[in-house]
Amino acid sequence: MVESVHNKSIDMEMRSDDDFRLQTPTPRENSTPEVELQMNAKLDDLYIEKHQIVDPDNSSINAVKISPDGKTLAYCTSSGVIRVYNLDGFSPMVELSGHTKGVSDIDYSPINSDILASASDDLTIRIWSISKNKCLKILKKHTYHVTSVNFTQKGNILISGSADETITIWDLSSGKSLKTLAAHSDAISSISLTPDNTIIASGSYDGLMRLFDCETGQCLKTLVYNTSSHGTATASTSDVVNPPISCVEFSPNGKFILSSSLDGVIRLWDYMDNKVMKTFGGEDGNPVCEKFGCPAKFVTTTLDPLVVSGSDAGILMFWNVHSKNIVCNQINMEAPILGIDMYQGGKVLAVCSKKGELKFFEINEKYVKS
Amino acid sequence: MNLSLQDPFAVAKEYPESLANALQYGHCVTFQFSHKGDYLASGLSDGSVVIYDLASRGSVIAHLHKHAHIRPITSVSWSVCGRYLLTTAQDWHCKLWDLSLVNSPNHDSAVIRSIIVDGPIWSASINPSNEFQFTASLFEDQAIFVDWSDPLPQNYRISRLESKPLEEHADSDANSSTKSVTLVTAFTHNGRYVFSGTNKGWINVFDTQSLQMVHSMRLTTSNIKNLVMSPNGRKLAVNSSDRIIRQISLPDLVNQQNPDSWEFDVEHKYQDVVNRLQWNSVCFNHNGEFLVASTFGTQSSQDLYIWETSMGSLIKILEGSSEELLEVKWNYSRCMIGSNGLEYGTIYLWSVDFPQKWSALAPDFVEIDDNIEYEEKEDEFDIIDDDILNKRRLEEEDSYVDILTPENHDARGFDTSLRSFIIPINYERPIV
Repeated sequence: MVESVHNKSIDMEMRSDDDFRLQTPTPRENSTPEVELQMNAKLDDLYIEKHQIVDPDNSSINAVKISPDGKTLAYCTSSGVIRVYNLDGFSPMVELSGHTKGVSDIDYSPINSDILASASDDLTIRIWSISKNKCLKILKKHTYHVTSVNFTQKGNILISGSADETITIWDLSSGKSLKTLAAHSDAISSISLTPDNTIIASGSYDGLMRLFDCETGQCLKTLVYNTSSHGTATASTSDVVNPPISCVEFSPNGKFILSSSLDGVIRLWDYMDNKVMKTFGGEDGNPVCEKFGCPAKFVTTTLDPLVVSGSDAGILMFWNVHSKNIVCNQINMEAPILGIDMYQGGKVLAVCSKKGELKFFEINEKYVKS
Repeated sequence: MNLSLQDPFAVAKEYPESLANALQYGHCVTFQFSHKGDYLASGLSDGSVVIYDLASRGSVIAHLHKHAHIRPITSVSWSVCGRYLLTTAQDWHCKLWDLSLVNSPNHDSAVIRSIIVDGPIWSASINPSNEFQFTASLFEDQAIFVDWSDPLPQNYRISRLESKPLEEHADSDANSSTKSVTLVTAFTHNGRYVFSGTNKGWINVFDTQSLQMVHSMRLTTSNIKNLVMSPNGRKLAVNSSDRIIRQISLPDLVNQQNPDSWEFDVEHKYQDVVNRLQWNSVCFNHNGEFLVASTFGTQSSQDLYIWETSMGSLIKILEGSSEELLEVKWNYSRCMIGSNGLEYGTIYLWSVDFPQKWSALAPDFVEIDDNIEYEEKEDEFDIIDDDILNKRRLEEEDSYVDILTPENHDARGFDTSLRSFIIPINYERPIV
């Protein structure tokens, strides 16, 4: 038994080695050298602005999501309202009201674009039907602001993170909570799921990222970035500063985690090895975001995969994942960016800001990989 | 992907060890895991079907009760894609359900095909290579093979599968007074052949293209209760009422086209020589290396027996149920064994336990079994300047990172690239 496990792991190492050798040269051969150069130099035409929406209440837009069928767009604001727009013509469709305090996050059900979940500071999570303009369920358990909601791929499980330091797993077919994961010591800021929905990654203001088994609720691993040269075991507590994590996001293949922390740096982790593979920072080493939880995500439709993140200053920044160079920072929202969502790996992009503005972009076709 | 972070010794376990869960919604009389292993369909004694989602530890996601059967279900069978479900019952009906229509306000019922036969149905199974074909064994009648690709009932093609063995093999008792009837049918893993077992201990093999009997052999003289093939198509287990499970190594049915050249060797016979119990049901694991069986009767028989099939030795007894267990099924990708109880109709699920590692919560600690003499590293307490440290860290970041290519196999070696059908959810009304 021991033998076979051992062999398997060696096998896997060899395979990843092969991947490495095979795949590095391919993009270089396929794309023309001119375009290759462009994906590393500054671009001013990566995305083309198509539309702009200004919130009627002028309140901060905290999250934006594009529906899985690509037909609608929803955003939530600090005034507690969720507004849904038709992407065909950008006409307002419905206004979902019911939350008594601001809404921090929303998510569409991946199996049904009519269903939306929302997380609010009024301690509740609500499930909405857009076509009926109706709240279908109210989930109550959290004892402080709910900061994030995520559906699993099958749409029957909802995972919520809260400022009460817990993560709750909800079964939507019965409306009951299945498990509460209490392992953090400060507010949960963000949650992400692997593509196979078996691991939950959570980011918290306590500076830790924890990975949980979605089924058993066990903590599988903890990732932490220490500024000290030693681990926590040897350094005195005052030496150890773990910058709060504001955003976590699994890579499209689920093998890496992108984390934003309030030391202003975005890191790409290999969570199997507990290792930071890439560090993305602002221009000239300046911080990206130190105050707000600006989200970071992957753009996969471009010639080279990119990382996109908003900044405190309102600049939408794009980095080449491999070279870590900033390839675009032309888009300016003029206020902290609080939400980014995209469709089809980044062919369209929606960005929202703290001053109540939402912009909708389409990618410049010449940068799309064939 | 969670498995790659779990204890590798626990992941490498090949059979479950402890009772993990018991599902109780209605009185289950038969059940089946979906091919991908994420759903479980349970046939109830009232004729309806309940579907559990195993990823959420068994929450009910659908209850198929409209236009359902009106007598206890006798079998449920999933299509390989996970979208269709075939059910048979004692009410003489076979029904095919399209699960994309469940939980939808626009559809009254998810039944898309239904036929009535001349009696109760023992069991039925969907052709693994065509979800609109199935075979069923009927009470005191010939088995049938049905092709209902065309939705119009008058175009259903129903063929009889002869239960009398091929003539050259048939001996004197083929002419005797008692009629020979087929009790069980089973498809090979690729859907090329159907194996049927009769009340006289014969196994007949049919070609699913021509529907002609191509081979028959006699294993015993008593009723054949179960025919189970390992998913890799290497082994066959035959459970008969003579209290013996016969394990047969199958010839290469894919490449050996001529049925006359097939040889079926009985590798092992499993029987309980002490209690002399009959076996209720048997099942292989994914590669046929293990066989699990449930036992008949109420005394001392609330356990499942697992044998290792190369030597035929008993390696594990699964305990924990409080009633006699009927069917036993293996969920390959989850390394889980399920069995339903006779008395209360509970489904018991055994699986592998993963111990919680406390070191997962503290990244700087490692768990060790014994004390080790710690040797301080040369540079362990060196104070390194932050700038140098940062520079060193950035230098390590030059390697290529592939964020796109997914892993196609999980830590147990199962293919994860297969996409399976997702059953829609009713967000408005709770089912339970």
